[in-house]
Parts: sequence; structure tokens; C-alpha cells
Amino acid sequence: MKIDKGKISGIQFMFTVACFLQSSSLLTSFFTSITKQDSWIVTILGFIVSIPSLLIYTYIMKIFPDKNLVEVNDIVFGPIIGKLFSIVYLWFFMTLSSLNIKDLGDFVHKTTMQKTPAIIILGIFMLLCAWAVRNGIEVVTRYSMFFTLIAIFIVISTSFLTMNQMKIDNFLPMLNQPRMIYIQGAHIISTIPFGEVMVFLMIHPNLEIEPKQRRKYYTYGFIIGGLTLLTIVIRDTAVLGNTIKIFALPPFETLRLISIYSGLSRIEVLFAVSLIMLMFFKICILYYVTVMSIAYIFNLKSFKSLVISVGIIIIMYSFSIYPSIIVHMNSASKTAPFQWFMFETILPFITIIVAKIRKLPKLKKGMI
Amino acid sequence: MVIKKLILFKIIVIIPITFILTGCWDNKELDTISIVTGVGIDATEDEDKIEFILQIERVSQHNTSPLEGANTNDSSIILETEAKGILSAIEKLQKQVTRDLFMHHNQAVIFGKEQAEKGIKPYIDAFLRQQDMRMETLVFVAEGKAKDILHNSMEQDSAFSSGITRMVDATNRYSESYSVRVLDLVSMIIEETTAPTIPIVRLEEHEKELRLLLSGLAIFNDGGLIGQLNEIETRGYTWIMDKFKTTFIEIDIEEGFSNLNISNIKYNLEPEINNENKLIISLEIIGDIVISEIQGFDNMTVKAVTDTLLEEGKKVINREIQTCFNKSKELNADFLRFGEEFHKKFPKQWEEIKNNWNDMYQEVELSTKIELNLIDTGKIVNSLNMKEEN
Repeated sequence: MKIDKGKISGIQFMFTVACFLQSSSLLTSFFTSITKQDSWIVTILGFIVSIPSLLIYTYIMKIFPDKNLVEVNDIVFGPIIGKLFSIVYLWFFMTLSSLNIKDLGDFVHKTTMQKTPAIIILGIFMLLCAWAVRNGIEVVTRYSMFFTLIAIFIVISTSFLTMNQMKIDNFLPMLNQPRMIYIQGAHIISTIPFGEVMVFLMIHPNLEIEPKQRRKYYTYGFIIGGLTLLTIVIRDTAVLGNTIKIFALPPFETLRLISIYSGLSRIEVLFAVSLIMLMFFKICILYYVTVMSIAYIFNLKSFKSLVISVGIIIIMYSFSIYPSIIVHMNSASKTAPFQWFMFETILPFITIIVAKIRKLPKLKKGMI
Repeated sequence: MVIKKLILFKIIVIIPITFILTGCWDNKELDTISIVTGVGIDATEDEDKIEFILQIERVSQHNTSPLEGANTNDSSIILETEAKGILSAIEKLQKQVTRDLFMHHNQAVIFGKEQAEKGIKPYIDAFLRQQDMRMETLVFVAEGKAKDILHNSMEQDSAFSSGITRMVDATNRYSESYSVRVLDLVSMIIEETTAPTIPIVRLEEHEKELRLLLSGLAIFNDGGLIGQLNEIETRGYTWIMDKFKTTFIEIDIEEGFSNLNISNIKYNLEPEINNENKLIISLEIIGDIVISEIQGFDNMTVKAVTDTLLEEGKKVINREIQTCFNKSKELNADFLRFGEEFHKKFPKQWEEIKNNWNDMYQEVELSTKIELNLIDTGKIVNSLNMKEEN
């Protein structure tokens, strides 16, 4: 039984994953404040570290090609424990959605609209997301390619425009910080932006492609997103140098510095545009995933009636999740990576092991 | 029909929403803002407080014809107040103006000399933290009071702050020493051993009116201003930091006087630690020379003249570099960023170097290697009074 019958093609899926990762470019300060000029090394490390998790997700996609995460939990752990697992995941998805919408609200508040109350910005934004989510996954992912290409274009063009301010020296001294910092940085980046792609476990039954091909598109998307993030980190480090550690939004500051003979300057609004666009996409996906997991946990026939109410819950949750930005930053660089690690790696891994022990997929396939 | 009516209804609802709900809280129209173009910070008699000066561009003035000789001092408004912090000062000043103070277009931040001696570090924070302050704002130190400089107007650009940015833009084509943005300043402050430098602006009396000029660099340590570089030392600084794009070398010797234009400068700075744990910086400068002016050199052949000129040119550059280096040792302030070079090149030894940097800096040796290639002599080869070559 499938609630949403929308179909996604392989290319669309690839760009969806890429776009999902690109939207994390706002969050680079979580690790640039710790790893400073070596952030690009850490980005690559984090990328490599998240490959095993990627293999776990694609393995689940392969053995349960037409079941989403909630259904997989039901099958693997049985209806009662499975539901418990699903509820834990639901909490994770909902927290992610609220965190992201909070990030967006903070960003808009900090950069462009200081006096506008957050509830207005978030309310209007969520309304738009709700509209997209109500129309199903096909509508949500349709613009992924367009958004990804715009984001890549903006990243590349701004890299060229800041080239006159880049200094290779800024990457030195290389690998001169305590070893723990690299581990911490790699952990943050592998869990906060990269590990979040596990939400696609809720979407993969809608893929139109063969189970065997899924890994390919998933990895390509992951690589595109990762490379964009890497370019952003390298550009920011080259331009900002040792000051990168003090900024809350390094990419925004970098773009603010663009000035070509005072004619072409103050184009940071480009970043704001691309970021709001990408965040819209990411929040739509997370929102959709949250709605779908509720619908599946309670075995609903349709998810459309849930959309608005879940949106309201997410907004309310985002207001109460952290009392201040300091707590938010602290938790993002210290506690959240460990929490997320459990959801993103350990729980899926347990799922695979239990499925292996119970030899589940074959049995189920025979039954259907 | 029902569907069509529904669509019509939706359109009627949506279109007004786009007018009503877009950016209503944060709208700032040109006639409701005062555009701040310059910020000055001066010391007061009260230890804790600063005198905070804002320069606001007058928008409506531009309609008057220049022939009427509009009073240039009126093109901007100067506001001043005393306060402990920058934001509290801005808040106080807000009560003096009829419009919203709009900081986004601030062009320059000037510290008065007295305040610079007391310290500027505490006041940088606000310029970093506030969203409406930008990192590319230029920073200056005034010889004297910042207020006088902001009050002064320039001949071609009536307001100080728009004038000074143009001035820096113009000098940037030759050397970039005079352009220190907030970002550069912060970067220098963050570096553990570097002494930050900020260009100095000075007023010079010039036929009844005061004229503004850039003169030298101010050197800071953690506490505040500790010294300043004169013209020649600044040139040395510019050589060592590789900030010259093109410049003139003045040669004044017994045989005559000449100006050489040097361009296409290639630069290489290599830190070394030798066996005896001595720190050595080797600097290499290669440049192309064009002879721009020759006076004197009577009865010498072209070959002899050019050889002397190149030789003397090297000496001049070397002298400038050494003067600057000696000054930095005298102040014991590493404004040449040598410490950072060692940090980047020798990260392993850095911990040790950093702790003894103050002593070690006196021991640092600078070896220079300058190479000049004559590529052109201008439109003429021989000077009027030079000997004809056979």
C-alpha cells in the first residue's frame, strides 16, 4: 500500500540528493570555527567517513526496494518494536525540520529583515512548503535540477569574483592542530550535512529506477553536493584567511567582500537568494518525510490532511528547541553530532543486522 | 463554472497578499534614512568614554548647481556624542537626527591619535558584530583628532569619506599599503605575533585651506599605538610586503639625478631556520626598469649611465628595506608579519618560536637579493648632454 504514488526519475533523484547537501552551505560555521584553515581537509575526511553510512542506506534500499523506513522497521522488528523505532525516527525527522527552519529564520533575521517577527517569515515559508508537500513527492523534487544548477552557478561565479582576494597562504600551516580537532570536525561534517541524506530512506519506494541503479544515482548526487560544499569551504578559507573562525556565516561575509572597482559589489543578496531557495527545498523534503512517517506509523489512507497541522507543530517546535543561538551553536558542534550519529548510522546498521539474522527480504518477497 | 469561479477567487485573494504582506516591517525608503559615510572615534578626558563622530551625507544638496559655489562644508552633516560603547553612541545620535541612521554604506572608520594610543581593539568588536557594518570599510588613524579630519572637505570630493576611498583606490594602483580594511585589521590582530598597521591621514596647511593626505603607517601592539613609519619606511614596508604594483625609484647621486619606473615586480620571501637555530628571512625582488627621467650624467656613455643607474637602484631599494626593518626592530614590533611566515613554514618549531618571539625577533636576519632588468629607456635613448656612442 502506497500513500503517495508520485514517481521520481534517476536524474531527479540525483539532483535531489545534491540539492539537499548544498543547502547545508549555511552550516559551514559549525566546523570552520573549530578547524579553521584546515576545514577543506576535514570536509574531504567527513566525505570519506560518511561513505560507509551511504553503503548502509543503499543496502537497505536494495533489499527493500518498495518499502520505506517505517515499513522496513515494521517488517524487521515486528509491529510493536518497529513502531517504537519509527517513532524515534519521527522525532529525528521532526527535529531536523525544525532546526532547519530555525536556521532559515535566524538567517533571514540576521541578514535582511531585522524587524520582521520570525513567526511571519516562518509562517509564510511553511505555507509555501505545505503547498508543495500536499502535492506529493513529485512536485517537491521536480525543481531539484534547476535549484542545483543555480546554486552551482552562484558558487562558481562568486569564486571567480573573489579570486583577486584569494591568498594561497591562507591554507598554511596545514595539519598543525591537535588531532582531536580533525576527528571532531570530520564527525560534525559527516553527521550534520552528509548523514542527513538518510531521510531518502523514506522516499526511495517512489523511485522509478531499478534497485541496483539506486546506489549509482545516490552516490553521484552525494558527490555533486559534497564538491559544492568543498568549493564553498575552500573559497571562504582563501578569502577570509584566519578570520574565518570568528564569523557566524563565512559564505555570506565572503560574498560581502566582492568588489570589482566599486561597480560590481554588494552582491551578497545572491547568496541569500540561493540559500533561501535551497533551504526551501531541504525543508520541503524534511517536512514531507515527517508527514509521511506519521501517515505510515498510524496507517493512514492519505497524508494530505496532516500537512498543515504538522507544519504548525514544526514551527512551534522550532521556537522552543533552543533558547538562544549560543546554545544552538554549542549543541551543533558538541552534542548533536553524537545524537545524529545514532540515527544516521547505528540504527540503520542494527536494522540491517536484524534483517540479515532473520533473513527477511527473501521471505517477504515470496509472500507478496 | 464552479472551478473557474474558484480560480478567480484564488487570484483575487493572492494578488492583494503580494502587495500587503511583502517586507512591511523592514522597509527603508531613501527619504527615511540618513546615510552614514564616515565614523570617527576620538578620546575624551574621561578614561572610559570615547567621542563618537558620524558623518552623514546630505542627499538633497546635489540639485544645486556647482556654479553657485555651494558651501562644500554643507554637503555632509557631522554628529558627535560621548559614550562608552559604539552602539550606545549610535543610539544617542539617533535622537539628534530626524531619519534612521543607515550604517551599510559606511566608507571609513577613523581613530584619533589620542584614542589610538589608548587602544583601538575594544572598539573593533562592534564593527564585526553588527550586521549593518561591512568588512570592507577602510580603517585610518588620524594625526590629531578624527573630528577635524571628518570636518574637513576635499576639493574634488566634498565629503571626507567618499574622498578618502577614492584616494585609496587611486593609490592602490601603485601600492596597496594604504588600504587596510576592517577584515585585514582583524586578520592582523588575530595573528599572534603581528603588530597591526593602519594608514595615517594628516591635514596639511595649504594656502589658507587644509588639505588631506595619506602619510605613513601607524604601528600598533596589543595596547595601542606605539610608533609610526615615515615615507621611506613605508616604502620599505611596501617592498617587504609585496604591495607595490609599480613605483618610481629616485636616484640622486653626484653624477646626476634620475627617476626609474619599476614594474612587473616579482617577489619571493623565504623564511629559514639555520643550524644554529637562527631565523633568517631571504627576500628576493625582481623588477623591470624603465628610465623615466635623467638629469646630469654629463659626458658618460649610455652603457655607463644605465649600469650606474641599475646599481644605484638596487642600493636605493635595499636602503629602504633596511630602514624599515631597523625601525621594526627598534620598536620590537613585527609589523612585517615575519612571525606569521615562520608559523606557516615551520609549524613544528612555531610553539617554541612564539613563546620567545620578542627576544627572537631582535635576532632575525633579513637578506635581500634584488635584481633589476632594464627593458626600456622611454622615447629617447641618449640624454641631451650624454656622450655620443661610437
